[in-house]
Amino acid sequence: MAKRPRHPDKHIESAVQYAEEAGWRVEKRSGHCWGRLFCARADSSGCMASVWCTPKNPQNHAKAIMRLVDKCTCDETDDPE
Amino acid sequence: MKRMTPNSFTFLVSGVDPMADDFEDRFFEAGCDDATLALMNGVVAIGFDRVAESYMHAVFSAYRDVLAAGATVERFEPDFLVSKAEIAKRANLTRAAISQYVSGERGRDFPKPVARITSASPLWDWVDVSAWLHRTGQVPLEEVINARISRVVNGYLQGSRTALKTGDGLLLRKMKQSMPKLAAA
Repeated sequence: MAKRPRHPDKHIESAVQYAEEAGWRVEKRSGHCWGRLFCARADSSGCMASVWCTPKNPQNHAKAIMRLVDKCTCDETDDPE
Repeated sequence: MKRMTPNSFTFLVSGVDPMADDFEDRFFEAGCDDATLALMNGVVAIGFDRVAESYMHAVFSAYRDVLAAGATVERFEPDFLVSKAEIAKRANLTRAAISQYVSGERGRDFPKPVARITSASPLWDWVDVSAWLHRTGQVPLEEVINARISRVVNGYLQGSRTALKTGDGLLLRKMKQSMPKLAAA
């Protein structure tokens, strides 16, 4: 599988790697959106997160991406309520 | 003095296709470069980390930007309706402590739940709960103020959305016809 280009910002690149380590895949895009991250669940109810090329605050954006990865419960069967 | 800590909240929206090529661009161009766009449980979530004069300024300006992107706002989170587990999380207390407040074992006059009361998992109004916790010195005043903003936004969305949903307007009119006192309310 071809290696994807690294995100120019180190914090965001770290967050993208965090997502990949959790089983998410990267779809590289062009324009304001650097790429889209898709969680391991393949169907239409799976999660997606959009990664900016130049967000207002890269560190906050990176943290937000990691929070989303942590929140994904697609592989869990029970409601932890 | 401007607060440099970002205010974090999320708008759940509809009316935009997350798989469209211009999905992200329209939000970026509307000023949402301090938001993170996501799709969770089939719903598009615009999560903001916005620096502003106040929480209220952050929320209202973000609402305006989301509308400018062409989306329809469905709900605001953090929601003002909270479960026991959510109360514990927000107050940074244990679930056991919250259970004791609820049962009256500890503390006095803890607010009653406001929704799903006849179910296994009732919900409380975070405005009331955070105010109670603030009085006992366990959450800052800011939490109470923000709770009210959440309730106002979701109350407004619920009010305007529900009335417009197909069939609801007709049902409401029928209710008012059969109950004149309701029509006057």
